[in-house]
Amino acid sequence: MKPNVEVAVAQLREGLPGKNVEVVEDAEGGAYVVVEGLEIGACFEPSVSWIGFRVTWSYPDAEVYPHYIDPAVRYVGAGPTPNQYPDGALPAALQRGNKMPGFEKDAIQVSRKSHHWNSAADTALNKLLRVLDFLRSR
Amino acid sequence: MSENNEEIRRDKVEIDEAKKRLLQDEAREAENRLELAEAEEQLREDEQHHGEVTIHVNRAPVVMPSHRATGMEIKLAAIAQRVDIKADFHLTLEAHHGQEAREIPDGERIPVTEHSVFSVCDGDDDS
Repeated sequence: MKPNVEVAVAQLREGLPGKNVEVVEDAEGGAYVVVEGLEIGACFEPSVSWIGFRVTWSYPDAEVYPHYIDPAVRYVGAGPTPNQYPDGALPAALQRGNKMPGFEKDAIQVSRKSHHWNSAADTALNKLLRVLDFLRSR
Repeated sequence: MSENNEEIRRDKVEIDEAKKRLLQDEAREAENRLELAEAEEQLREDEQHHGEVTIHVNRAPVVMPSHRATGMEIKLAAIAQRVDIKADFHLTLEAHHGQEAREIPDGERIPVTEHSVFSVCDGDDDS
C-alpha cells in the first residue's frame, strides 16, 4: 500500500473507533475498504449497513468514489425514489445490481461525486462521513 | 472598695465586647476570604469558557472569541481569517482522544479547545 493510502486507512480507524475496518490491498498500491456497522438512517431498513469503497494509489489526489452498501437495504422513507427495482425502489444516487470490488460481494452503489475534491483537505474519512450524512438525510 | 469592683466589672464587660468584636471581625474576614476564592474560581472558569482560543481549520490556525461556537460560527471565523473555504461547505470535527470524527451542522453549538481540529470541504453531487 502507498503511504498515503495507509494514512487514509489509519484515519478511518482513528475516526471511527469501535467500527471494524476491513482492508484488502489492490495490485496498484491502493486498497479496498469496508467499514462495518454504520448507522445509515431510519429511512432505510435495516438502518445499519457496511459501507465499502476503494482508495486508489493516487489518493489523495484522486477522490474516493463510488461507495457501496449492503444489497439487503430497502428504502422505507417518504422521499422520491426514481430508481425502481423489483426488490425495492431507491432514492437518486443509489443503484442496485453492483458489486463491491475487492470483496466481490453484491452491493448497492452510492454515487456521490466530489466535483471539487480538495486533496489538501478532503480525506477518505470525510467523504465517508458526507456519504453517511447524505444517506441519513434521505 | 465597691468603686474598685465596679471598675473591674466595667473592664471585664469592655474586654468581653472587644473579644466579641474580634470574633465578628474574624468571621467577616473568613467570609471575605471565601468570597474572594469563589470570585477567583469564577474568573478562572470564565476565562476557560469565554476567553479566546486557537483552533485549526484545514490546518490553519483560527482564533475563536470563545470556547463555544456553532458550526457556522467556526466556518465564518475561518473565512474571516483567510482560510479558503465557503460558508456552505461541510464542517468535520476530526477524531481526538477516542472521540469519533463527525460532521458538525451549521446550527449545532459545540465546545472548542486548542485541541479542536476541523476540516472543511465542498459537498458532493449525485452522478
